[in-house]
Amino acid sequence: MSWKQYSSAMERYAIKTDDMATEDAYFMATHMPFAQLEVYRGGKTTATPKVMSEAEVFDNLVYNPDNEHRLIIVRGDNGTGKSHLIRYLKAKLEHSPATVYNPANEQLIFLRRLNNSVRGVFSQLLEQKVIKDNDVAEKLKKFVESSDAKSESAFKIEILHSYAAAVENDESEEVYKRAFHLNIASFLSDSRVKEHMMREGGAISRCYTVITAPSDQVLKDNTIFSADDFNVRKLLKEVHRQGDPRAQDCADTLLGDDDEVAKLVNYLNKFTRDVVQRCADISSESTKSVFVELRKDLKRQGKNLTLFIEDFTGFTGIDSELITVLSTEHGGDYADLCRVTAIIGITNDYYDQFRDNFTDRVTHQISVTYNSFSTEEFLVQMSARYLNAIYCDPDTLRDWNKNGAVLEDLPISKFAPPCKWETTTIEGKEVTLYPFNKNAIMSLYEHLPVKSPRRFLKDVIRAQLKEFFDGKEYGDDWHFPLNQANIQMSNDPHSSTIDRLESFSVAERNRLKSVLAIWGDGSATYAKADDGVETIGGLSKEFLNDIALSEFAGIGSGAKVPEKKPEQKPVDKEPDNKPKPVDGATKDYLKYKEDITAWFVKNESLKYDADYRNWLRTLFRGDAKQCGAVNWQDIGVPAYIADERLADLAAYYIDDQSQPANAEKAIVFMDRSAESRDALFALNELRYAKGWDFEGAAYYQQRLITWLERRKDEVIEKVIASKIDNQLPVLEWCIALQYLKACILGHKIDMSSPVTILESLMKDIKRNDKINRETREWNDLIQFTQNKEADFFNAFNMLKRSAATTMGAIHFSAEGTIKSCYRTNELISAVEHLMESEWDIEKALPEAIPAKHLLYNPATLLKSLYTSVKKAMAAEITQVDEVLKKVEGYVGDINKDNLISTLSAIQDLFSVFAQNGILGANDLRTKYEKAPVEVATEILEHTEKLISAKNASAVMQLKIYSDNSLNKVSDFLRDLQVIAQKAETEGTKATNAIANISGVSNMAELSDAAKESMKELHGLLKNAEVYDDATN
Amino acid sequence: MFKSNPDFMRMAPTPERVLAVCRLVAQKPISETDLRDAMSLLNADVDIQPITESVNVALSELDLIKNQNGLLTLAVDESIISSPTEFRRYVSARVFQKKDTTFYLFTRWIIAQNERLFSLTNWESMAKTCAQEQAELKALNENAVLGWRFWAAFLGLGYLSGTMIIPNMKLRLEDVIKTEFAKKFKCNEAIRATDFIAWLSGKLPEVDMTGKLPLALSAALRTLHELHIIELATWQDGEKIMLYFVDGEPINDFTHITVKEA
Amino acid sequence: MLLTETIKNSTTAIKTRRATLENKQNAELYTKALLQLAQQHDAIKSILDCAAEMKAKGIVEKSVLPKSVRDDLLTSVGDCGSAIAEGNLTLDAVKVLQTKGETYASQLKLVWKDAATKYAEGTKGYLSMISGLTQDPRKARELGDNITRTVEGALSIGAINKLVADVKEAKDITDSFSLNPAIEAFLKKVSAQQATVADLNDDVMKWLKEKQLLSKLRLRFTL
Repeated sequence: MSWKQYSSAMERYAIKTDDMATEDAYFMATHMPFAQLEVYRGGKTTATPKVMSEAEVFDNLVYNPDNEHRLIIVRGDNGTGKSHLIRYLKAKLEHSPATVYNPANEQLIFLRRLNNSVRGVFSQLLEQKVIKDNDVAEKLKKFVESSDAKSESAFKIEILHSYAAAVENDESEEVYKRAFHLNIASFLSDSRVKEHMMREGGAISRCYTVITAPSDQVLKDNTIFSADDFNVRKLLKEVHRQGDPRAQDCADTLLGDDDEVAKLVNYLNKFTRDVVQRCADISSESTKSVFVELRKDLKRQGKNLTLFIEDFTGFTGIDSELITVLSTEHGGDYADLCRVTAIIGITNDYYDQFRDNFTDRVTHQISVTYNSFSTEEFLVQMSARYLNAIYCDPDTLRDWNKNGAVLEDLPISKFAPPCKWETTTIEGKEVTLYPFNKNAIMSLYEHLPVKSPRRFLKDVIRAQLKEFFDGKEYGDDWHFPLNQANIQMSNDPHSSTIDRLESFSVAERNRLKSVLAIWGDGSATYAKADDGVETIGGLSKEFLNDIALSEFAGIGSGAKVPEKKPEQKPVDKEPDNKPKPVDGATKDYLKYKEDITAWFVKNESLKYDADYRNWLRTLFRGDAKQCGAVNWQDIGVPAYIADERLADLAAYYIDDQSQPANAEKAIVFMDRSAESRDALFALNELRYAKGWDFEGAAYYQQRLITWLERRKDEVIEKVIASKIDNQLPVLEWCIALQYLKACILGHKIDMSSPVTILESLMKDIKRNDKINRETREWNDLIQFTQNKEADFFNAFNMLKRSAATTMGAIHFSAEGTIKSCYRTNELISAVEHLMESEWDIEKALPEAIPAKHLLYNPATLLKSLYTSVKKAMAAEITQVDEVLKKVEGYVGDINKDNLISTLSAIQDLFSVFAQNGILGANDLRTKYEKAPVEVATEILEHTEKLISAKNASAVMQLKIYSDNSLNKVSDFLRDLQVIAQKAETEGTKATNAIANISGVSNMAELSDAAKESMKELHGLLKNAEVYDDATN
Repeated sequence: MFKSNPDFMRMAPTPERVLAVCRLVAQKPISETDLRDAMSLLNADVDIQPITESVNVALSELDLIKNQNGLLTLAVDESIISSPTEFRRYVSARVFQKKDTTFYLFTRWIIAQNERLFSLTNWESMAKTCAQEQAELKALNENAVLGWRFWAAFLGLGYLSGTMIIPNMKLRLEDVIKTEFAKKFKCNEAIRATDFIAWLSGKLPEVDMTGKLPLALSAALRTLHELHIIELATWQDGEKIMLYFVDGEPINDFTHITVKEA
Repeated sequence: MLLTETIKNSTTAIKTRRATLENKQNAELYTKALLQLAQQHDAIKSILDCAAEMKAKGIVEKSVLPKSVRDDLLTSVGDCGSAIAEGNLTLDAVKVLQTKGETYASQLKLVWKDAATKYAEGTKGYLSMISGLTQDPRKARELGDNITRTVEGALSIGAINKLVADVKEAKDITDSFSLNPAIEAFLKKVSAQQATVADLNDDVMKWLKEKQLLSKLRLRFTL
């Protein structure tokens, strides 16, 4: 047979889409005996079952020599094979020898799918010659035929009218008042409503299908009417507007009221049975009578009935009648009924729903469960049988079936695999499993979302075979094997090696990996056995050749043949899906592995990217104690800078990570590639093993290092935001900041040599409140340093820490007191360069400075500082000019002589004050007590300094003015002002006082008068008579 | 660090520091006292010992600087200290030729351990095991290995990972190839592996290339190959040089090697 | 303006003020001295006038101005005069003159008292003797008191003249008193301090007894 023929045999006979349409020969050839069937007595589900095999069930239940009344329910979920069991039991019975089955006294009826249309059921009944009563038969026949003949629309109208009639004739007022029944009927008759109901997919159409669909169609719906039929606003509104009064009333009730709609739906659905029967022109009585008649008839014939109903989920109006009939025990009052053995297959759901109806009537239950079919043995057997059936010539099988389908005589195909291949036995005969093997069967089964024989058949056997046959047939574009569940090779290194095979297309690589993962031992190890047989991953190379994977030579030279890794195969494992308890670390390891795999293979987002990025961080940066794989400080990147730049997890970005981030800002970027996947695997292994002591470490190291080396240069450049041989002058910027700050705050800098400058600047520079600045602008500068204290601190911190050497983990650079020596040469170079530029490197700053960037932050600060400094110096110069001019106003030209004479005059003034009892300005008095020449020299020094700076650059001015000469001179000026003021005041006081001292104005007259009086007196005395008293 | 055995191999003189000493000396001849002051910036917190040790390494062990009339001056061409790469190549061209140093002996031992190295999960166990197995290194202790590791990583013998070193001499090999290869061979031409290895063994005396190439070197070759810096090929009938077998690696031997033009 | 200038102006003004102030004080003192001098001049002149007047009105016979005093005063006056001429008259100098003047004035007052008493004695005595006998005894008595008062009181030209006037008036009264010529003669003699014991005849004695004036006459020796 050719591949095409195999394919055809499979599609048409062996594994059909509707598997119940399989023809008998194939059915028998592929039937898998059920091993464990649970059998309950009675209808309850709580009893303890007895476990029987298929044969036992047949012998005990189907075979009924004692003619017991039996109503046997076969339960099981969809796809568990209950239909299959029933069919098989029927076939077995049919094929049984006459001692077991004698058509002469046993009527065997097999009803397939009773959940399809009424017509379908009746067709079957007719076919099976169940109907004995000719009248009834005629009636049914007519119905069946007329269903064909009658036009669809006419039939539908009839159905609708039937509903309307049923409603109208409903006497009970349980749901609605009688009056409302008329409204409903009227509503249903409304032309618009009619049209809606009869639409495709509408209620009436459904009902139509229920009645008339052919027997091989399976129907799903149980209800006819649904809410959609009524809650169409437009429709209701139209009826409301234009319908007759009764219809309007009904429409109004329904409009916008979901509860009313539901109520109506339920109400109408209740009439379905009647409608169906009416339209199908049968009544429930007549349905029932059909079966009763049948039993009676058979009894008259002296026959018994074994009735198989494959799939019974009824709504068609005859299900409960049927059950009633079938559950009526023969004998006694019903002596005219034959014995019936009914074997009916139903789903568990249906049984639950209608349980009450059944439980009392059912005599046995057979339960088909998961247990029956999930073992390796079962699956392998099943696969073998199907394969065999496919590989066999159809005619051979049919002949075998005709001859009784005796299992022992089952034909074995002549199919020969291209190489030695796994086989199994069916009834002692060896059958090949090619192209499957046990690994594949179990693995594929285990990975089915729903594990049932049907799904196994469809999604494993058929799906894979289709691809296999197509591939063999057409030779190109192979898809075999399919790997929906993405089963991975257990040997990751090999898997990743295959991923890197550039000579293979991606599809081929995936195929290869799938084969090795599912069929093989999970590895790609090449081995050559002593007998020359070549295997890859435990699979014959011939096999791989056969499926167009011959190009692959395997991995390794076959020096050692690795043992089979049993991880993938659940050998006869308990079919419970509980995972074995694993410890936390292993859980994590596996979850990471799965996540990374899904990310690479299925292009899914990485779930645990935060953890991976953390691993990458440790790789590049090390941790608190140990170094990373990049020795930053030894390759010319200061440890501190590397540490800071690589500290934040946001610096690490993995393509399609779940954490949203800006990939462009990332310093370490990991693309989605096989190489990256391998690197992550390596880090995962490293983490799990807490070191490199694990199997495959060498391989993983290789992957990791290659990944690292390919990207290292780029990462380095991103860390330092420049090329390695042309780094940003960060130290220079930071030193400049310290310098400017020192000048602004009046801190002394020893400018003797670069080293002394550094010693002065590499200190914490604090504000000195004792220094008073003369201009608002300088004070603004000081305020600037306070406001930006954090930025200055950061720059200074960076200066110290990145200029310091670091031994070992770069993390040490960032913490604690700096105990490590400095790369002073770099600092010196920076200082020298700054000195050459006179400390003004504003023009050398980059044009565009990235914001909030560790390395550029000093430049940002510097830029605004320079601007402020320049502004401040302009103000300072203006102030200097003013002050000096004013001083000149007091002193004259500022030179030594003038100063001295001014100072002397001041001293003079104070002494005059003292002499004249003029108080006040004592402090000034004391201040200017010093020898004028001393003070003059001092003042002169300061003023000369001030003047000298006038033509210097702003930064130089800053330096010169740093020690606050302006303040000294301004103080002097202020003193002069005070003194001048005082002098003037006192002088004016004195002058005014002088004016007020009124002199004695008639002094001269008085003098003259006095003179005259003395003269007169003199004359008087002279002329006065005296006596000589000398002698007295 | 590079003294004759036995040598304590102190940690403090790291490559960064030794280079900083040399560069400072190159700026201006300077006395050792002044150099200490300069490199500590007169900060009392700074340890002086590492500076002294670094000076010693530069002065006595690597001949980078010399003492002239009490002043330290640069003893080599300025280009040597112009970049860490140049510096590194200068050092690695020298230190492995001195076969009596503890550094050399220990390096050789480490490389020879191949995968066994992984089971020596920390520096201490490396030191202890080596001390037990190599008579001449019986004085080796953890501190020495801690010191060795910085230079080992710097010179490109491997990559530090936790308390272990990943043996992959990519950088060392690359240095040798970039500086020496063109002197003997042509680039972009397939050179016989045997010739190449014969030549290489003189350049990498720390690696035993008599049999299968050790893991460190094999890993280096593989990495360079994957980065397309070299190309390893296996021709029919060529004499094979065997790499250290790593399961999963496609290349486990080669008969010819091509060095791509830089 | 340069500070030096400002300062200079200031100090100059201050110094000037000081000097000015000092000067003013000096001037004040000088003027005070001049005024006081004027006062002294008046006082001394007044004394001198009194002294001259006393002699002129016969209260004293000779000058009552000692030479030493006059010379002393001259000197002092001379000093003062010179001081004025030099413009440096001091209060002290005036004080000296004042003291001198006052000393003489008090001396003179004693002299006056003495002399005035004597001068008025007789008349005042006779008046008081006969005051009751006059037309206007009250007036006579008052006159007598006045005379006493004047004698006791301060010396002045006015006082001198008043004394003289009062004594004259008293005399007039006593003169116009009609008495027994012998008694009258006797009383006259008494008032003139001429009466002697010889004059005490029986008529007189009888009259005296009659008038109860026995005790009113006193005998004294005279030179």
